[in-house]
Amino acid sequence: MSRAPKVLAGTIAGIAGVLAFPMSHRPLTIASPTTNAKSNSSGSSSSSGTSNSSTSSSSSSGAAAGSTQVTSATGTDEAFRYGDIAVKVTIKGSKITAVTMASQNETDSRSQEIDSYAIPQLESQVLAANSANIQGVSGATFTSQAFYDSVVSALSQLGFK
Amino acid sequence: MMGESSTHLEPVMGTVVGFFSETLLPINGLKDAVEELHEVDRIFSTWKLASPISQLRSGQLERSSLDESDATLIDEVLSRCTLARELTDGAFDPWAMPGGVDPTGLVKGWAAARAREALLRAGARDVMVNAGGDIAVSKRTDGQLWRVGVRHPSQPGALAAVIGVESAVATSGNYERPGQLVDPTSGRTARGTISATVVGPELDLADALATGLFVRGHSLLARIDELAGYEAFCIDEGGRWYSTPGVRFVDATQAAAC
Repeated sequence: MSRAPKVLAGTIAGIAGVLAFPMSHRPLTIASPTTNAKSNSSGSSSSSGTSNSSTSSSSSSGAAAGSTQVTSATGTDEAFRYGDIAVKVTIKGSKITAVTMASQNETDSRSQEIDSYAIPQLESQVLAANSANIQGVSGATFTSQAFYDSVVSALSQLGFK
Repeated sequence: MMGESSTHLEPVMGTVVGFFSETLLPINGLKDAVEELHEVDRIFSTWKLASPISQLRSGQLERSSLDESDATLIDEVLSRCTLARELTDGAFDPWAMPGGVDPTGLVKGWAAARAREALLRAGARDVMVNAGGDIAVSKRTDGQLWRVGVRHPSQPGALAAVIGVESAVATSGNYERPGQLVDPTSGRTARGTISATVVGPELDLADALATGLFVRGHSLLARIDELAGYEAFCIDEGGRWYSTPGVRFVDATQAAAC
């Protein structure tokens, strides 16, 4: 019996030390650390991080941390390959607290898939700066020029360059 | 905790680049860093038809008729692309893109690392430059690693993991350009791997390696593991994780408790 582990170790070394391991990671939600710990321990991660409703709840919990005024602006409606979109940016003081889709009119299901990823991606990148347990988020951001242009116009309305 | 920390967000390169520091960002360094990014965008944007790279791609201009400093930067990026193509055994290949050479998959990381250097030259400490999820950081003065969340490939707003990072990390996934990443060696749309993350000393290579890992799948991990200082992991469609041994996964419960 004691030989089995040695054989296994030899095999792992033989493939240049690359390990393959299935992991049952429960996704971590991007929110305040306390919210995180609770949602993870209760095991109800499926209820969070799925839609715009969780987006707005996480941004409002961020806003509760200070007393600076919260303002928002909606960027221009930009045409893109699959339809058109407008992005709403919310700031508290000089910090962006939420980036959400103000309107969207799409022509196929694929673009809806893109949107559902695009908004939380940019938002979480921004919100990560306010989270105590992580300092940044790796993973690509939506690169549509339309999305970008709308964000830029919203930022400019809010007094960002 | 948030005492002196500072954040700047710059819309550039088709994304929003975030600059973070746990101390104050020196204004001159920030200005240089931002200018650096806009300059890279001007030269390398494939969205802008008048950019030098677009004109090279369309054949409107030869390399010899480009502005000399633009040409120097393009040469530098293309030589890094050549290296990345060799290191990924062709899985990352800017010359296989439709419409001519497209170094986009490496430029964002390259630019973010240059922006970080501009900040450090101006005296900044403990800085993070996040270019649409490609992250360049300076080594922390407290000796710890940066804690970086890796976006979950299928659940918006969720993280798949938290990892410790000293210099750079890049993640490639199907949320980037769904269905558009093609394995240049087979011509087929990349399938199987839904998220690929590479950690290492240089962000431009990490960026390109992540693209290669996403396209080729976990069979590329052995090659990445041979590169000094680089570690990587990927997740396949079945939810299986594959990792080189040196990835510094931060325990999720610890991260939440911090």
